Amino acid sequence: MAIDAATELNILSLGLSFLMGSALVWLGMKQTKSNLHSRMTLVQLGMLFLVNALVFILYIVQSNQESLGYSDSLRALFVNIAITLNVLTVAQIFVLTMMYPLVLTTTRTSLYGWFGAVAAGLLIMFILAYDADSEEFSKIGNYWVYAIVVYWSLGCVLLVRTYLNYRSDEDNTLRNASIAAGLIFFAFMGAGTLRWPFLFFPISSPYGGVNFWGTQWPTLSYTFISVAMMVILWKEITIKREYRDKTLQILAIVYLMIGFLNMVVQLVLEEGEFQELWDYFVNQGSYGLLRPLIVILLALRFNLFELLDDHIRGRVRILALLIITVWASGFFEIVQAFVPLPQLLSAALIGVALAFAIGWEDRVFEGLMEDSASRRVPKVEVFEDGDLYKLVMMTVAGVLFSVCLAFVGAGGVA
Amino acid sequence: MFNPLLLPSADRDDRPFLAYVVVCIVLFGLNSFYDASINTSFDPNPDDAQGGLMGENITLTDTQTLVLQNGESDEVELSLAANYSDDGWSLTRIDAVISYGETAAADAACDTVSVDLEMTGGGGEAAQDATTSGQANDCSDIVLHMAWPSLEASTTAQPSAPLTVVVEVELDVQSTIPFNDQDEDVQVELVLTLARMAS
Repeated sequence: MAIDAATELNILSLGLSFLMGSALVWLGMKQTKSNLHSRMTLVQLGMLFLVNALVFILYIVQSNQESLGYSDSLRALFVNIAITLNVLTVAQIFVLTMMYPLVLTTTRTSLYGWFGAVAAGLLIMFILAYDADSEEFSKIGNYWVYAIVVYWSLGCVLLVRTYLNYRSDEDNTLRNASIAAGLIFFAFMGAGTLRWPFLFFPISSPYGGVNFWGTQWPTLSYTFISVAMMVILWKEITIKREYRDKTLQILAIVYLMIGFLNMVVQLVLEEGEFQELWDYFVNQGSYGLLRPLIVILLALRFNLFELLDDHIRGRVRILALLIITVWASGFFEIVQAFVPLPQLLSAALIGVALAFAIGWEDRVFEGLMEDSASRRVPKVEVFEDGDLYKLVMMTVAGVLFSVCLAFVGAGGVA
Repeated sequence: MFNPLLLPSADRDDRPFLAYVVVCIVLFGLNSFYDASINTSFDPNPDDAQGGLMGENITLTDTQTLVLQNGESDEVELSLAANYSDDGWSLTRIDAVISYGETAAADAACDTVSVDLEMTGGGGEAAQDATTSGQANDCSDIVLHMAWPSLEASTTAQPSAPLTVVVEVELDVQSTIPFNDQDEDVQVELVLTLARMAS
């Protein structure tokens, strides 16, 4: 496997996640004229990307054990920390679905109660995972499995409920909430749709439909996610023309096709370098590259950024250009892994892509300014000023908690 | 307490959402049933000290043909990416079969092929049972292997990815006819057996 290319993609994904995370948190804190619901969402998205950046750092360190020269036990600890942090991101995604586009509760106290329940759930899942299996081998793995079964499934159901309830609603803000729910679904759960053919046609898989880490339960969340993709595709095709959303339609088709190609690669090609590259880059690409792109689209489209403020707008435009640059590099890294291109040609293609992207960015921003009032989700008055700080501190506590859990389960996956 | 926009309401049609949930549960049930019916090879061993844990294996195979000149050596390398250990797989066995013939026309002498099997990275303990070098001068197959204890016996002895397995092959041409035989095709088949425990 072209490990160098994989490391390069991890480095680019790290850069992209850090850039996105720090920018979203900064904008969430600074755009004081905007409503707190949007700012809380931005900060939550930003913290999610920052935790992802930590995960990418661990991936880079893990894949360079020989050159960095550290012990196997330390590597096992890094693997464990990466898993517990990944679990934290799953919990963060669930919290995000409770906050946006519709807030789960009507009062701030009960919402924080649910956030506390999510945190307590992580602890309970870890204890159950630790207790359920006396073999060190799969303790951390079980923790990951429990988290995705519970939090991914619930988060997906919450988003689908918002999507289906209001996709054809006459109220524009509710319809926007429905579209935003669809975009969040693809941004954070889209990678879970890639095995849809194996779930819908299990006979085509040599292992049946459910071969995730040797247990059947994760299939529940993958089923919720894969069916949700089909539901969104069906709804976007059948909805009346003036309500149709091209972005959601295209995303559903893209993920459907990637899933289909994934099945072809898994079944037709034998184990080999191409399949390894495919597994790595398709998963990593949908996670590290598609997610930031959809989030930026979501933020621009539903006024999470305060674009009417000249100062903020200028910053967002610079941010958009930086993200486009890193994104284009990551994209060509994937292309280069499959089709080796001379560096000069690759650089030229990045340049061409950037030239188009800069033109696109200019046009998109102009368009967004024109009808910003019509692109709102339902307004809520649940949050207070100090909540932004609390959200950041909750995430910092979550990271420390996850690292502690990794130490408790050290050696568990080595 | 809950946002009324998310709760069931007489004003809204909840049937699509209910249909979604029902389809998901039915599909999950069907997949579970199908999976249980085909994965009979993963039945737990009742004598297993690990209780409800089950073992599963996969093999990764790489076959290459090396064309070697007299006195030349070459390698076949198979790397295991880190994502295998992330998914819980450990290496329990390496098998290498090196085969060749005498392709030079009218030559009665088989060439001499020397082979070394090595593994780098991966950690774990030294192989419990191993034959890591061999030689043949009669065109017979050379069989090398490295084996570690099963996961039921130990969970820390086996190497885990990332690791690289290398088979180094050296050719020494033997010929009964001067200048008739300069090279040889040597086929190397490398098989890695991975195992993991699943609850």
